[in-house]
Amino acid sequence: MSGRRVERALGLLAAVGLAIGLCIGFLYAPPDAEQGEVQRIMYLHVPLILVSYLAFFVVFVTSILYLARRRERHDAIAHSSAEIGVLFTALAIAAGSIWGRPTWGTWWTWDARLTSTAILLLIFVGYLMLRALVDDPSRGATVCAVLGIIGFLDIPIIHMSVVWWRTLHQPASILRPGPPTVAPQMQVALYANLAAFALLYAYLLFKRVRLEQARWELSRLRMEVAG
Amino acid sequence: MNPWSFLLGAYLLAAVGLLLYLVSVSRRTRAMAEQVAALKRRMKETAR
Amino acid sequence: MTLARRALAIARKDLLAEWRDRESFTAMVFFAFLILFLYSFAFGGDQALIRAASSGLLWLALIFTSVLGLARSVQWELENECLDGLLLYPVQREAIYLGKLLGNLAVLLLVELVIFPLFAVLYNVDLWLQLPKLLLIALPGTVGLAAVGTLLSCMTAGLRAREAMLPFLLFPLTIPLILAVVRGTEVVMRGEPFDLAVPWLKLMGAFDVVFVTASLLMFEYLVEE
Repeated sequence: MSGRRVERALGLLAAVGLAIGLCIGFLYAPPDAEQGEVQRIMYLHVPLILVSYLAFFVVFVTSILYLARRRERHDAIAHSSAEIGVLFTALAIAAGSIWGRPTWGTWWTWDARLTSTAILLLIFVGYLMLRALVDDPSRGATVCAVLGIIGFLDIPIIHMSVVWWRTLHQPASILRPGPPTVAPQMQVALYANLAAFALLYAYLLFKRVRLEQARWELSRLRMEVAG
Repeated sequence: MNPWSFLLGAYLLAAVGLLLYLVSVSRRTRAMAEQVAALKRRMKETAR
Repeated sequence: MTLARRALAIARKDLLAEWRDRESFTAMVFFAFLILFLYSFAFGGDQALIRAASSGLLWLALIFTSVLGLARSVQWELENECLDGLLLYPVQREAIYLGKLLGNLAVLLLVELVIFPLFAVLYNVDLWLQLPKLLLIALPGTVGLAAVGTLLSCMTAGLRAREAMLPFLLFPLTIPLILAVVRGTEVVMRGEPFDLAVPWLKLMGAFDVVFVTASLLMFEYLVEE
């Protein structure tokens, strides 16, 4: 089956990419002048967040397409991308929290970026919960498509409001978990890991979409049996 | 404070999370394929 | 009949039905009052602490209360099969959404008008002079809440866990409104220059425009069979 071959190829590419990314992140890139070795978590945290934004953008686009055209494939991609997005966001927050402990001294701060990301996580966990609660697959797809669209539209507004909210309580010199200037080798490591995680996302998405399509097939078959 | 323990912790957590997800998707896919096959078999039998 | 006329007709129908026994409205007012009352115990009787946090506490109570009203407006329709009736009648879907939005908005604003003075009395906060400015802040916030809330209540209608899902979806989405309305209220109550509230008003305005528009565009897909 060509589907399985593509899946395997993507998986291999992702694994290789991640391995390369790890090497570059730990061996090629220098430790940070201020934070030391711990700063290397950035090569995990930032790609995870950026790719999760990509995942939610995919949810947004495929949700619109689903409402417009009602094709199962669009919903399959939307649901799958939402699930992977939630996973990546949760891992990004966890990594960010672990990064924050030695650099800020606490596991959690109401930093603008962490807070916005946490809100994003809540919204799309809600998406997954909603989907789980709706029995009829096409009603579930419709309802979640609407949620996916408004959830994504909210992202810039949430970000702006949280940033304004934080600047009320902290002066401009906010301690941010990133080196003030990114050395060129660090940039290479960042981009390499970003590409690797994007490949991982593509692989997981492909795999997950096939599951979703099987689910649609099952429900179709069930309806045939029921007459 | 040993930086490497934090580094290892973060990367390990991510690796475990991703692997668990991969396993979950594989398991669900297999279960779904079985259900589809079983249903198709039943449909063939009732068609006879 | 134009869209606006139809929407107003639907809103009027909803509000009249509500007015007949005022069940939902009374429940909301009581619930909000109860939360305000409980703050005293939650804060160990520290009135100064409550006054300092008053803007946030006030809106927290109102937001929790809003869920009551939002859920009931669609639940009532479902129970009485009125939604199907509405859908048979050749009304544009947008009018249904707009009508429900206006109905929910009216109820929420009325609850706020009752709760503001109650809050002022309970915690000795001087609201009277600031009332017009306070309403100016409250209005776009409530519009946004009603806009998203109406859409979500239609999405979660008929679900097994509706009571839990509606707030769980509503609250994260409306966090920008919460931040804006609380900060704006703070500005007004502390007598700070109103300029400080203006960016928050703009934020709420942008939120309202985006979400009312999006809801209008998408509502028909939600009620489609």
